[in-house]
Amino acid sequence: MSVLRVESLKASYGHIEVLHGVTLEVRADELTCLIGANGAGKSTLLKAVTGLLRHVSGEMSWDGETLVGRPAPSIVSRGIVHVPEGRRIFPRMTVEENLRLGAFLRRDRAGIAQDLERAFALFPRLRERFGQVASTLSGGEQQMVAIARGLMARPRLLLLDEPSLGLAPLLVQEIFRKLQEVHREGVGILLVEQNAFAALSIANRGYVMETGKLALGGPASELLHDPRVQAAYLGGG
Amino acid sequence: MTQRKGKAARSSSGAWRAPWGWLAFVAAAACLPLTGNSYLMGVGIYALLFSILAMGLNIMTGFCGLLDLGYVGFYGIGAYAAAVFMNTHELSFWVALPLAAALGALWGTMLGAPTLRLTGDYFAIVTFGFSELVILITRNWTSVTKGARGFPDIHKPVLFGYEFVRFNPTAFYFLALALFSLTVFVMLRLESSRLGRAWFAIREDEIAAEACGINLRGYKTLGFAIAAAFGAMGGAFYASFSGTLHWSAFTFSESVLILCMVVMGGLGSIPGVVLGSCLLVMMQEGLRPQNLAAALAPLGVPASSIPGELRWIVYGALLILMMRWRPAGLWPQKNVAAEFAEEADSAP
Ligand SMILES: Nc1ncnc2c1ncn2[C@@H]1O[C@H](COP(=O)(O)OP(=O)(O)OP(=O)(O)O)[C@@H](O)[C@H]1O
Ligand SMILES: [Mg+2]
Repeated sequence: MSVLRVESLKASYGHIEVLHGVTLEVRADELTCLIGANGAGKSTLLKAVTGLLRHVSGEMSWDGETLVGRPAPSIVSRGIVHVPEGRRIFPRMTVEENLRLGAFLRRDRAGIAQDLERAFALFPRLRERFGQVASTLSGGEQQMVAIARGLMARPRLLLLDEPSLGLAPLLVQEIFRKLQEVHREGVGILLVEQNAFAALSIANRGYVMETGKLALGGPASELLHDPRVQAAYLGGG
Repeated sequence: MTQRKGKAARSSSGAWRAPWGWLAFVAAAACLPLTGNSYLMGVGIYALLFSILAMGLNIMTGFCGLLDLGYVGFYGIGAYAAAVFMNTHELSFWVALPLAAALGALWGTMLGAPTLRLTGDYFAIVTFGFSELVILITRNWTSVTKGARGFPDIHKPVLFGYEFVRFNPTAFYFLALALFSLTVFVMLRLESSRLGRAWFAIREDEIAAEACGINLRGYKTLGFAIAAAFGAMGGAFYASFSGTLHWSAFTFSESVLILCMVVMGGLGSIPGVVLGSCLLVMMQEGLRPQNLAAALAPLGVPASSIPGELRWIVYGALLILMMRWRPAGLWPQKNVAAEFAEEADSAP
């Protein structure tokens, strides 16, 4: 079973260091969630793992192989796929073109066709709209495109950056159910969320980040009941 | 699978569909020499030449979405390289042309690889600086380029013992048409290829493209190199056709002109870009001071009252009108047009 190991990871934008040594483990058979305040460095961590950010030091490995210094395509082809913050669909392309670009590095036509079917089975709404230009989709549909596009790369570990951003509560629930479904089909998930309660409720394991460092980590059910988490992220106390 | 609708998009069955529109266009263009009018053929040659250049620039600006303000630099490199290959090294035109294109690609790679990671505006400035540098070098490297006086008496292509002549341009016209057809063919293939999809993805959203596993720098550099190769190929043709080269043919205003053709025709749209080139070349002819003077003389307008650079005023006015009424271009790429239509609908 594959494990993503991150050890003392530091990352910076220009001269400003925003990750000051993060250590965590994400197992490909689990649904892991990462919560933390705005600006804690959650997105930065995902970008560092998937090669979108190059100024990193420390160690990251996957299947025992180092990921440090590898460019984005090489990470994607190893099965770690990033669904970036803010959807970032290809606005002037159709839903189908968006999904096919997710499979850009793959050559197995039959497998791609099969995964397209699976994506449509997961999000039937996208099948209805597959010829529609993505910029004309609703926010929720665009988020579905973003997730489905990530799945088209046939990931073993899917990193999702705030998929619930800007969605109505009902839709957030639906998206989270879909993520659980994806997880049951054998894809590891690292879910970055503001929506701490919902995320921890579906996760096996959780991490809490504070200003560039990991503050807490453990089984999600324990974090849900941890008074520090409740005070800071669950609005309780 | 549904592709972007070029004239030669693969149909949904995946079979190759012949680009009938383009075949008809080339067939019609091939009839122009029947008029026997050398002037018309001369204008036709420039329309075809600038179509080639605009299609090349369109890879960068239209397909990849990167503003290139110095495309004429590659045109100049190709022109001077071909002149040097033919005159100094006694190579035949048919060897010099592909060599010049390859040299263009090489320069495109060397310039693109380090600079394409710059963000849009900085990249545009670098390309501008590059084309100015090309002019400086052509003006001052006298031993090779003959300096500011210009490169004289460039050899003509010879085919089966027939030497092309400028004053009877039929042969040059067909050569231009052949190079044009080659360019269109390559562009249509690129547009519907994996490479094309990578470029469009980069144009739409770089971060998303990278997250899909698209190697940004690699694909951008490749696009830059291919664009440069077509610019240089156009330059090689121009060198042999015009017979002399002067640095003033490769100034910034030519880059702007080619960019106007691309924007006016429709960024990313191959037929649009060709349309834009043909229209601007024809306008340029119409607005030449002598032609204008001749046309306006019966109305009693004295030649001295016609500004020499009137064409730039007209281009400027046209661009403003276009941006107001047809912002996506005269013949836009389908999905670009859709976006503008949508914005117009949602405007208050
Ligand atoms: N491109 C950038 N250039 C400079 N600084 C950046 C950049 N992106 C992020 N930062 C800074 O890095 C820090 C961490 O940002 P990051 O986006 O990783 O936070 P986050 O935990 O994802 O926050 P949020 O929950 O608001 O998305 C912030 O202080 C932010 O200002
Ligand atoms: Mg974030």
